[in-house]
Amino acid sequence: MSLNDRLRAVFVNALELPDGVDVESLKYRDIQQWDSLGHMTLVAAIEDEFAVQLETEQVIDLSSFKVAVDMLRGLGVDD
Amino acid sequence: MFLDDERSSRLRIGILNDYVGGFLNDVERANFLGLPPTTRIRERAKIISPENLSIGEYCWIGENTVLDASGGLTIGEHTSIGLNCLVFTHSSWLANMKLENRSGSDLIERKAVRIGKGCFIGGNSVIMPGVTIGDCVTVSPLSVVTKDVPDYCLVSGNPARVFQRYDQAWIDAEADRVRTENAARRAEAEAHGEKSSWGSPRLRLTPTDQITSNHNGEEAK
Repeated sequence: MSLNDRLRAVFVNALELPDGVDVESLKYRDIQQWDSLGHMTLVAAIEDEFAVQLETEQVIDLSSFKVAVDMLRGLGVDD
Repeated sequence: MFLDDERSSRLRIGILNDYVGGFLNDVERANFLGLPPTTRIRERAKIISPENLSIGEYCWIGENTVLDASGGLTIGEHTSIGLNCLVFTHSSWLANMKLENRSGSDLIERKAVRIGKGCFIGGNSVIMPGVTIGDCVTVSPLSVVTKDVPDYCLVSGNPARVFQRYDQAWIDAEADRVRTENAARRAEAEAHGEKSSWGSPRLRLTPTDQITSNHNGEEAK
């Protein structure tokens, strides 16, 4: 499974997204589920799935699916 | 039965204060404890070494919270500390390990804590000795704050970490949102002939909610 597929599944599960949501275009606070509480759940789920520890600035900067992909690649996570 | 040494007499004052305070409401209790008259401090909250506590106006302290001011504790105005919170300014860890855990041990380590103004400390959180929490900080429930927290951010977890930074404009926008929602609820209450004294009026279930489940979580007929 590719990084994008794994991350998409994390977003869907952590934010309890309904079917049909365009995960790739999601941005922080665009939807009700991705509020500050959802963000905490999402960060914890990403850290668990990819065995990484995000720094404070990364947690704050994680504002979209695309940013998360780039961040994980920067941390050495490959497809 | 009763001891009359200095320590016993000192502790007994606190015990009696707790007992008497149990009969008072939150504002009366604050007055009884010598806190600012705008303070609301709920049942069974406990202050250790209140002489070392500096607390601003309009603070709220929840049930069962322990504020240990023995090492120095400052709380800014308009800050709420939720239910069952523990704010520590001392620790006996070294006295324990040196097997010197006696009353009056000089191995008690004390470090002051400062909590800024406009903070919200969620219930069941722990603030460790020596920590400084900035202004307008939100600490999520069940967090353990082990290091300093800057102004205007949300922290969560054990150990607590920053999950969000915000500014005054964001706070103002959120305040507008909540005021608008509350105004709509009040208007709805008044439309039903109710008088809302504070907070939300009686919740009204939509027809969909009413047929979804009953009190047992079973589908209603």
